[in-house]
Amino acid sequence: MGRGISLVRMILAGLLLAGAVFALAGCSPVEGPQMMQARGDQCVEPVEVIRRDHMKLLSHEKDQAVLFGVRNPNHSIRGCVECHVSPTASRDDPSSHFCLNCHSFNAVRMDCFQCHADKPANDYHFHALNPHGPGFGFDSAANSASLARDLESIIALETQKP
Amino acid sequence: MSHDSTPDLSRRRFITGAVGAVASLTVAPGIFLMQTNAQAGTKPGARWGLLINTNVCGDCNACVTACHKENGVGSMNRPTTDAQWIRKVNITDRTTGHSRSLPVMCQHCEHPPCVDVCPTGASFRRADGIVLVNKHTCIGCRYCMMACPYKARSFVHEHLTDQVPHAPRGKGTVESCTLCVHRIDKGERTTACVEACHTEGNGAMVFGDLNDPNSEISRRLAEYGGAAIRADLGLNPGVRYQGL
Repeated sequence: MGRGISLVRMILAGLLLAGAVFALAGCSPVEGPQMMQARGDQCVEPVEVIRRDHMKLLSHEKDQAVLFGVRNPNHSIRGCVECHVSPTASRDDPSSHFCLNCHSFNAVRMDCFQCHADKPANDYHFHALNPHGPGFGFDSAANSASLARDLESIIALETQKP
Repeated sequence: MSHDSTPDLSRRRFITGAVGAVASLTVAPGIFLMQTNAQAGTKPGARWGLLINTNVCGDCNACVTACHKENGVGSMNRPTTDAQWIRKVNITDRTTGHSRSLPVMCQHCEHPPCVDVCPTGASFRRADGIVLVNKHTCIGCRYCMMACPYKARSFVHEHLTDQVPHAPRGKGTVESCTLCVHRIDKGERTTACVEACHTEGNGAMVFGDLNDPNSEISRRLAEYGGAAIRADLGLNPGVRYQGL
């Protein structure tokens, strides 16, 4: 009698497992969210860098900006919003907001936009690679290679000083 | 977003800055410094301040309106808790009946009590003398509000939307006059209140570098002097008043 019950249990478990395998096999890869087109031709970093490490750039440079006044339009949250968010975007509708769209897709919840403006302002703060105009005190760079050269020469100049 | 474009970038390549656009300096694994432009950062040796001539300052409210517009400080129609970065204070000498009206904002002290009491280091003084709240580390305890003898700071009690990009503000943090730090960092040498005072008001305010003896503010201070409010506390504020 006890043997019969355990046999039934095993068969049931097997059926459930088989069902789960079939169900998973039927799944297609998850569709990514529809991202809105950025204003501008080129991001400040290669796409694979920005996808993986944008939070490191923002986190590091926020301290530089707040504490020391070193403001870099190329790595500012303002710069992200300026290109990637439409002026008519809404926080309540993530699909209209580039940052929120991907964050909600990836179940990431950060607090940036509790304080920071989530829409571009009228005065543009585009980064140096954006052909629509760079931020204050920055000239347009032809491409990322020339930008890197500029930065290297600036660093070389700065390190000469005591 | 396609699935086949997996990042082929190793962590080390990112950290050592071997990747294209960013020139970075490696300090230690996981820590990287990036330098941007040569003029970046606070102006060396500067100490920004304001000089307010109360003999000229009248009944107008232009500085308050301009400041709150510039920084997106709006009223919630609850005057007891509304944020206030700058306010007009009326003082009257009881014996003579002589009255004065003057704007009071964060006085950007050399020895700020708000910085002394802050438990997280969020309240800090920049190298150029501007006292700010780092809202990334502010926990909203409001000790600084109690410590400030000028009642210059406000707490944001409510969820906010539609902030101005250059002035992030949010619920649960303390805020105060930033001396229009976004303008100073852009190279401008004026603030919203000073600008409004000259265009709409009586031209009672001057902004400048207190450490530069040739600046207008220093010349005026040298010639006519300027008092600090509550000078007895020895905080050496960067905002000075004439005619008090």
